[in-house]
Amino acid sequence: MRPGSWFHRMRGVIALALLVCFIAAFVLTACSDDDTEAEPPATPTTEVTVLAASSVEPALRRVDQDLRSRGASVTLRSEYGGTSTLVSQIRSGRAFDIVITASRTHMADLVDDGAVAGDAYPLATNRLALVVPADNPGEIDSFDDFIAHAAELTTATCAEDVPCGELARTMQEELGVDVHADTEETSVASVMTKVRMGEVDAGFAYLTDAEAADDEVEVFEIPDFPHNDTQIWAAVAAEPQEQEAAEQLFTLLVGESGRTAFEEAGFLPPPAAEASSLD
Amino acid sequence: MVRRTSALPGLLWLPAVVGAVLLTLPVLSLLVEADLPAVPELLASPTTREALLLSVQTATAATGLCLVCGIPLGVLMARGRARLLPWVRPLVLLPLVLPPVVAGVALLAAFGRMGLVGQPLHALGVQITFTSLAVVLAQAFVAMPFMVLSVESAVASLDREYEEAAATMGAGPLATLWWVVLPLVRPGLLAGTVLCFARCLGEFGATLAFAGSAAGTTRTAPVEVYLLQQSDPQAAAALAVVMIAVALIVVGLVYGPGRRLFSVRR
Repeated sequence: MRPGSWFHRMRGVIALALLVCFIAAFVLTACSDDDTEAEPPATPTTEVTVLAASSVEPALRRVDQDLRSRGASVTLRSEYGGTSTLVSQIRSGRAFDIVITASRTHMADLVDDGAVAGDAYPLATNRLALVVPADNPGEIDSFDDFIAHAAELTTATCAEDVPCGELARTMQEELGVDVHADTEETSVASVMTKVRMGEVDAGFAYLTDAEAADDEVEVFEIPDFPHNDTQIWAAVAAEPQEQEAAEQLFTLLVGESGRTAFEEAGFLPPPAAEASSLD
Repeated sequence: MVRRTSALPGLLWLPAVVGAVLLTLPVLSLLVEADLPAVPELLASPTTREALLLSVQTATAATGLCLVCGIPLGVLMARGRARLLPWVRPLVLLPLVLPPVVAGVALLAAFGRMGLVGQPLHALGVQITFTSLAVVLAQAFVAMPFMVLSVESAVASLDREYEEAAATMGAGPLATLWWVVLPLVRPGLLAGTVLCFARCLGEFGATLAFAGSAAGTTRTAPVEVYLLQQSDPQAAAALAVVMIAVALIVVGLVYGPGRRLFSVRR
């Protein structure tokens, strides 16, 4: 680019034009809805933001399908993450309408913080399962077999601060076993990823995750132990963005269709009424 | 010499100040928010110390790897005449712009148990994932381009006369490189090493995806910060302060008033 050439003289204008184009493109993409894909809804719908533990995804997907097929006025915008990640995000002020945790204690923390409205309800319970890749590289044939060879096998669990990690620790304490975890992942989803990719011989995940990845993994039951399940709890935000729609969806979640969705996704029923208190 | 500072348009200040605030405010806020007097106490926890120690060890090893392989790469890119080199350069520098998680996934594809190299290795009983070696590889993968770039630009800007003079005095190619070129590019080498080390210390995404997170083996300081953030934000902030301090020293040395140390003395 020689000084004095046309490009040189116009370079400021060109740069400015490019910048304007970028900004315009950015704004346009940010504003455009996906209305090219979905048919225009007959009734105006309200979007409810649900922050949910990653293990809940299969159940929420069913709820979402149900809402769509009925042409309901409420639509789901669900975002998944490890329960403790979600809790810390909520603490730093993340806006949401409904939160679903994979543990009772995390929900109790949120209630104590005043981040959610007082009434939290248990939706379902989930159990821990031993999951191995479909080709079973560790040649594991039962939970006991796994424990016997745990030291030589590569194993993934959740970190202890995550509900599935808490449950794995309880299991080790109650059953008096040691799983020799090679990696402690930040959510049950990343444990499943490591198992599905065949990077580990075994992983500890929820029964529902194992069922959702049916053809890619093999599942072994874990012997019964005290406190062998974790509870799925839901609550409406203390200051929801869409109060009415949020409450509508919450009623649906704790009601019959919510229960069906969780059951179909392989969850166990919520604890009996007398046990379903946060205290 | 004519002073030209007065020719700067005043208009520069507004966006410049916005940019400077955007870049400095978050770190300053963290320093304000963190309970500074409690930092030593929070750092006394064995898990935090373990993570810091592991970070220093792996970053040192990875920086060593970057020196051993990065310097030859940089010299070849600057002086090499092989036809392939211009094509190799962007590939070698790719990790600079790659999202770290993508780097982790790519490393898994190569060295994971099902990976291209990892599978035969695993058959021989060698596993890389979930070991400290995986952390070192992840760090070297993202940091080596810094070394290559530093060395390449330093060597490229070197006057060839020195090398030619050395050659006419009978020095072989290796002697010329060792006694003439490398001492002359020492500032670039030092800067590259420091940047490399800092990048290794900060590596997070690739480590988490490729090496996992196990206390003492693969849980480096940044991974620990991420985990602590969820359970104990105060401790996370304390550890973050330490990492900021290290980073400050590094950028201070390479880009700040301290950069004179790194400039060529003639």
